[in-house]
Amino acid sequence: MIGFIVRRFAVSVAVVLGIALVSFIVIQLPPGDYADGYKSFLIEQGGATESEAEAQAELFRQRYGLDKPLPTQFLVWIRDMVTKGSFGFSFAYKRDVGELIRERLPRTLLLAVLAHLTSTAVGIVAGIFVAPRQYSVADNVAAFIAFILSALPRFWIALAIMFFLVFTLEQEHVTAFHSPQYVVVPWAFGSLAETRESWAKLVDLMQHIWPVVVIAGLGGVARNMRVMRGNMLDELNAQYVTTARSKGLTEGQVMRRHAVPNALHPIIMYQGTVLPYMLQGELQASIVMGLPTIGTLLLTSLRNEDIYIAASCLLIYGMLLVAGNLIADISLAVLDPRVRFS
Amino acid sequence: MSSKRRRMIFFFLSMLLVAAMVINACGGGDSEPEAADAPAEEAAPAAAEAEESAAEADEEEEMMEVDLSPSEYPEPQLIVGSREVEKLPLDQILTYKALDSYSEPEWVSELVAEGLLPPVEERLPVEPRVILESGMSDGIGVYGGVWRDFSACPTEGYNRGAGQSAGWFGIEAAAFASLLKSGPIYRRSDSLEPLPYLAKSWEWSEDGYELTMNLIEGAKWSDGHPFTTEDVLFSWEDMIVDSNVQSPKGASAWVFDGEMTQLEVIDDYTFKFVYPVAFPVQSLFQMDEGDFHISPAHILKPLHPKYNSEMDYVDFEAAMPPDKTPVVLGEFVPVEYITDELMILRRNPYYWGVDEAGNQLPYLDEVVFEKGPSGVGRTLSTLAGSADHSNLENPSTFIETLKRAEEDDAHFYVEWGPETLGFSIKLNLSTTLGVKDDRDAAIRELFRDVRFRKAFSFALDRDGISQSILRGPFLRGWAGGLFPGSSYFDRNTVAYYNHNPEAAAALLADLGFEDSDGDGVLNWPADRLASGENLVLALVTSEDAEETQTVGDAAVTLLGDLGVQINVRPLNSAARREMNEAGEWELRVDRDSQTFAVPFTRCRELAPIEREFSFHREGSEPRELLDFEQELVDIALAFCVEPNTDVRRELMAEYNRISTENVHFVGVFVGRYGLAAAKRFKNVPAGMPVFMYNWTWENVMPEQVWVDPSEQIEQLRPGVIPTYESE
Repeated sequence: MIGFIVRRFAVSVAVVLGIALVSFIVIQLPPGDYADGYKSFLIEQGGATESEAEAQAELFRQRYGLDKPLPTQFLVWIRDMVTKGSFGFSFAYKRDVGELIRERLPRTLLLAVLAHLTSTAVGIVAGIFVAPRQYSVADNVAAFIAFILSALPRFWIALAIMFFLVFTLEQEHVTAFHSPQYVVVPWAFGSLAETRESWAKLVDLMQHIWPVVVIAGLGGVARNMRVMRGNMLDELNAQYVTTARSKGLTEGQVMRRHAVPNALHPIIMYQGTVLPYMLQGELQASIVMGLPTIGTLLLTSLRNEDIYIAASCLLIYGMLLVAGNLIADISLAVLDPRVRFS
Repeated sequence: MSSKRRRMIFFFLSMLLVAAMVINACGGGDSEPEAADAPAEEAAPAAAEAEESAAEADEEEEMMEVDLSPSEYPEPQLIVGSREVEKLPLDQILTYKALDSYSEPEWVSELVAEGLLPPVEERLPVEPRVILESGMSDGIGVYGGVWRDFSACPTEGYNRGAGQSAGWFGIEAAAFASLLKSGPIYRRSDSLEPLPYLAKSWEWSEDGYELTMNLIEGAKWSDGHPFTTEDVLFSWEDMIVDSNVQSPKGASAWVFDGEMTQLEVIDDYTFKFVYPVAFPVQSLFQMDEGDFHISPAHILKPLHPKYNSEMDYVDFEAAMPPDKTPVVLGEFVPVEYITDELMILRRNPYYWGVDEAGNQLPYLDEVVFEKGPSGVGRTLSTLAGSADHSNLENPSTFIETLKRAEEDDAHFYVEWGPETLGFSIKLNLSTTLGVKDDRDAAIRELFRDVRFRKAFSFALDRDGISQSILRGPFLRGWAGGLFPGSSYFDRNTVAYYNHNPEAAAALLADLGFEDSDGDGVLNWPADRLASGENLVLALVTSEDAEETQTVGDAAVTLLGDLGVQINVRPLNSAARREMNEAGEWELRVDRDSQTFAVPFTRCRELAPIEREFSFHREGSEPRELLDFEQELVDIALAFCVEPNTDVRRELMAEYNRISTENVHFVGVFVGRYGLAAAKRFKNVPAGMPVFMYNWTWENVMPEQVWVDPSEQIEQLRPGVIPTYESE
């Protein structure tokens, strides 16, 4: 078992390194670099001539190591990450990339987890509801809605919701986590007044993030609902359920005590692998909504070739993906000896 | 319902524009470098004269019948709700003088009483900068109120002199001050010079080699430290001239005829520039906002690597981080910043301006910038009511914003500025750069023939294109040359070769093109390098500016009707940049820069003076300028150093005539930038352009904006003034 885990872990590290390398190369593929953008900025905004701007851009490249060959840039980036825990330097923010990601990671995960919980809870409840009503109108309607929601592009739903918020509800600050008056309130629970403020801030937060949670969450309902429905149907047709019924248990008791707990197993197993999926949903929705999460950071950095942010974000997404798979593999191996001996 | 659908469409269009807006605003920029230099001869356009065949005689006869003369350029259409700018002489807008008494907001007086601030008289200069009531559209104001705005660029820090960005979108304008100010020039009737700001006056020596600048006396930084020539000298020597510092505008802007300008300090409040040439009046524009940033010497000098061996230039650049209240000279001071979420600026209690009644300015107490990833956020926030200002720069957002503004409960109004938003098609005039084979050479030779450029211009249905981009009176045809909204524009100097397919066809025939193989596409004549081939041209549009693509599509159809096949290729800004540098392009649709609106500030970009001129770039071989290009160069060079405004106007009239008669480039359409601003704001100058010499925040003079107490919005940080740890 330990040998298996070590092997899988070693492979995962190699995969992460591979992701780092590939993402670093892919990011550099578009023509030009950050200094080029800086150069046209100097020409446009500063009215500099092209040769002046080029000199400044060259100085910029030297200062931030963009003049070095790609392999050197990559190795320096990896070296600093391993030795100093530094993800590099952002040209656009003039800050350490690690700090930027640290600021945004908790919110990003919060959104992702909330979205995931939404999709799981709604999916499970719907699955439980429709399973005993197989092929009924309710079953078909639920399936129809769930598949529509997972088939609609998330950015489209995001646009539609945002449109609704701005033009119909006239909600302000749709592209922020908080209204300005709450941005400046710290999270604190020392005194009653502080707790009250923090509570109001939490309510404000929910008012702003629900679209992302709903958009990212509803897309995943179909899968959870179908899995839950299938499992429930299997369980409901199992002999032990018939036994339970024959003992005289009510249908509600049969469902609650027997069918549902057993049908939930595969869903719980699946939790380990959903991390990347959750993040992906959050990423699309918050980019459109413009919320300051890792998704928007990644997009803007890709656009202006702020390479270390982009590479670090991709690396983190990659690591989460690999970690999710690793957890799933290991837990499967724990349960199934065939996996660990193969 | 239909209005909702339109809103939907608008919405998608806006999202598509996200990239363009944020990149332009933050400086990624789809800007075409416009500059270059070198002399040359006209490259024999009179080719088709030699051979005499019956066919050509016919063509010539045809030519006689077709009218090839330009049409008159029409007067602009007025858009309802737009006001004329009320132009005034400087002495009715502002002055510098001592007043009998000064006052401040009550809450600031309380801080004075608590001993946290010196009394207002001590904080103000001997002769403060006085905004005159005659220049205020709503008169003397009252204190209080908030300006809510939106910034879509990261805030790097406040060391602007070392190239850091504070977040743009007005943050720089609110926090920093410069020697002179260009933004409000549009308000001046007496001259087109920048307005005095920290420098209250200046005099040229008789020979024009020296310019003495007089600073405002006794102004203080936001921490109470006096502002003197020491700050100017530091900003000059250790920021602008020091090539290790990435100042927004480097020393080369101060080099004339290969020699560097010198700065000499005379006393605490006087210094002079010593120039290598006489009357380089253009350099006044190098002292305005964004160009000559004044850095606080008492803060930064001890941290400068030249004086502090423990610092390097990277650390120095980061010496004014975004989370620390900066020491500044502007009306407002950033006191709180939460990365990518919010920035709060509060009134600068040391600001050195007052109104005529002696009220220390600004009137507003607070400015809040919400942060977001794209400029669309600003328009959305304005429509939703959470921001007080947006610039309408993308025609696809115009109608929706206008409709919202017309609703009774709208908190903002929309006003249109002068016609300075232009799109054009450039033809690559270089004979060598990017020329790889005979066909390339033949195409460039063709582009250098005025008959072809006229044919191209005649082919374009400008009104049709304008209406297909945006129905209504917002856009109209443009001949090229200066923008109709420029103060130097004279309608009578325009040679307007507008839509006339017969004239275009006649000119193409005159050039020898005919469809000899009957496939619907013209064939190159035998006497040109690409003989017999189809006339196929490549046109590059910009992925980031939707309008360029509409123009491209229109060109395909309109020129296709004449037998010229156009292949369109949209590119992103980085790819366009590379393409321009390599000169590997034939035709290109551009959104034009402000050069054609404010030619004086960017006079070297009017003609191929610099080697990197936009559409006639010099490569490794010397450039061959056409005769009229040389004339444009001569005019532009004379214009750059002309102190007399009337003579400048004459030069620009001549420039515009030559440029449009020769179709230097093919103008397509021109429109207006719109301003969306909160109705509650008073003293926003009538007809204020969103973008002229500078953007809104520099144009509005934010210190004079006020809000009636009944309409004031709650402040986020009431009673707060910037504070600094004593070190």
